[in-house]
Amino acid sequence: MNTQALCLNDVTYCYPGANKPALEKINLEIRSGEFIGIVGANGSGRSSLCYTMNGLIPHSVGGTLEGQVVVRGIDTHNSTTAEIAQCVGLVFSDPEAQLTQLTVADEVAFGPSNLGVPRERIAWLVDESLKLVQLEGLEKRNTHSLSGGQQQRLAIASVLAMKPDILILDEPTSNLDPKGTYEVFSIVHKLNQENNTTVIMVEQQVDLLAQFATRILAMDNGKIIADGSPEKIFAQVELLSSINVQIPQVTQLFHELDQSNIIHSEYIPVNVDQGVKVLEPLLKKVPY
Amino acid sequence: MKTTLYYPGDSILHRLDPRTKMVWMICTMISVFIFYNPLVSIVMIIVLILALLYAVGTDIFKNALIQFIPIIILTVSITHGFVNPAGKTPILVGSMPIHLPYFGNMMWEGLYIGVQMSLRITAVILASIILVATTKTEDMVSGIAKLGIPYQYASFFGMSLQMIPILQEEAIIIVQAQRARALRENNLWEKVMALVPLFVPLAVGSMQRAETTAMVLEARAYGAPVTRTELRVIRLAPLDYVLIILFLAVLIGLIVTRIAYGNLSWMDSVRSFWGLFFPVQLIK
Repeated sequence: MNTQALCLNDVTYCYPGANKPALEKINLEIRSGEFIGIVGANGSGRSSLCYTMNGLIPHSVGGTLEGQVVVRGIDTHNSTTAEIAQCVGLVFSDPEAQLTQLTVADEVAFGPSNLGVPRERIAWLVDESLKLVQLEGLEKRNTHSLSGGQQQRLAIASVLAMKPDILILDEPTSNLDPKGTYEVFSIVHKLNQENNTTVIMVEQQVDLLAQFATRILAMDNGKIIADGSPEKIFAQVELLSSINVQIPQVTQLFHELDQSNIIHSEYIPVNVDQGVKVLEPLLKKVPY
Repeated sequence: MKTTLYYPGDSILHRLDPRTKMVWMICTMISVFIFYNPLVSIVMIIVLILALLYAVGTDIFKNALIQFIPIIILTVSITHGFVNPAGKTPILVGSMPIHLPYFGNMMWEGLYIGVQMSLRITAVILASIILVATTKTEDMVSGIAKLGIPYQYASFFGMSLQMIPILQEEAIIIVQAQRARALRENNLWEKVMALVPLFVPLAVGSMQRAETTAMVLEARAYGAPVTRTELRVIRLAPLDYVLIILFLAVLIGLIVTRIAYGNLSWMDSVRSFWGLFFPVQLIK
């Protein structure tokens, strides 16, 4: 169960025509079943890291990739993105650019049909994936008649239909409202828990990442500057603010309380549940 | 906003296999282009208009492409009338030729060539509209793929149709943004000039989007080294076979006529307006 899903050895990548590397000396090992959140400012190399993980870098984007990227035992230098796509699913952030077909059902069926999945099984996969993202009943609709949020969920469904072992999401909630964002997180969380899908998610919603992710990578200037559990990473408030990454609200609250000598807790909580757990015994001491 | 040319319906034309309609379209194109004779085009146009009225109804005349046809006929005919080098006999109104400085007189022969050229174009447009208006795009992609064209190329077609509504929406957003910053559109010249700043963001935006879409396709295993599953099964029904044979028979008949009797042009004898469309002089 705890096998290696993905491994990057000394990866340095330079976009064509750029003189500064987008990724610099990245060493990373991801095990199956992890839920990884990647945080960092825009342009810190988060998307580039996603693209290296399924071979889009260097095969489609070009540029020079040094080092080794191994996905499920396959070196991405030696195989095409289409081959890697059988085990790695990638959801992009722009929902409209991800629509390649005319109807919703066709869009979801596109991936599996490229993989040569039998037609009956595709029909089943389409139903299942659409149900998972709550778009059932819209099969015949034109993809462009959907709202931004629906389009984004459709993009997720079309990747899920390919049954990837590793699911990479590059800011999948950029066009969603808070409710839709929460839904995406719970879908991904469910897949992670029930199917042991490895999830790698680039996100700005740190509060939700702190709640669901098992590991956080903080990126700055093409380097991974911090790697560890959400508790460990988000506790480094000064470091994260220096690279313009938001901090979960709960963490921010406890950090301020700590700074102004009101409450000193033994650890800084990163989500609401932990916050309640820390506050409860303290509140009981307060005389009414 | 209506973004595709497809008119939903359940007529016989809608139910025909896309390949049958493609054969029809191609036969029409070849037949009008092998003759120098407006009558062939007129017959084809009448058949196509009747078919469109049957399948789609009068709604088809609201189509911008169809509304554009009279403009095409007028401009092509008049331009050829003035500039086509085949022109020898000036058109006289009363006893005065129709004269345009620099271009000279309008000639019967040039006008004839213009008329038959524009009628050819009209027939081709209508034949393509029949195909697009009565075939769902996804069926068309399967149809093209079934004709033996690699799926990759067939799907380019579907995807480029896909781009039209996106570009339309984007153009509207850009224009609105520019209007919000006091874009001047008081007269026709300013309106035309306003298209220039629209074009650059539209082109750049669509190129960026195309790049992402290319990556999306790869990430969805497009072009994976396995046999692709075809999602739609389209089959030729008996009626399809009958019609294909009919279209091919008509085409072969016309090709034989072309070889036996030449291009059936009466260009040199045109001397009146109706003579442009029907060989009145030859019958007298």
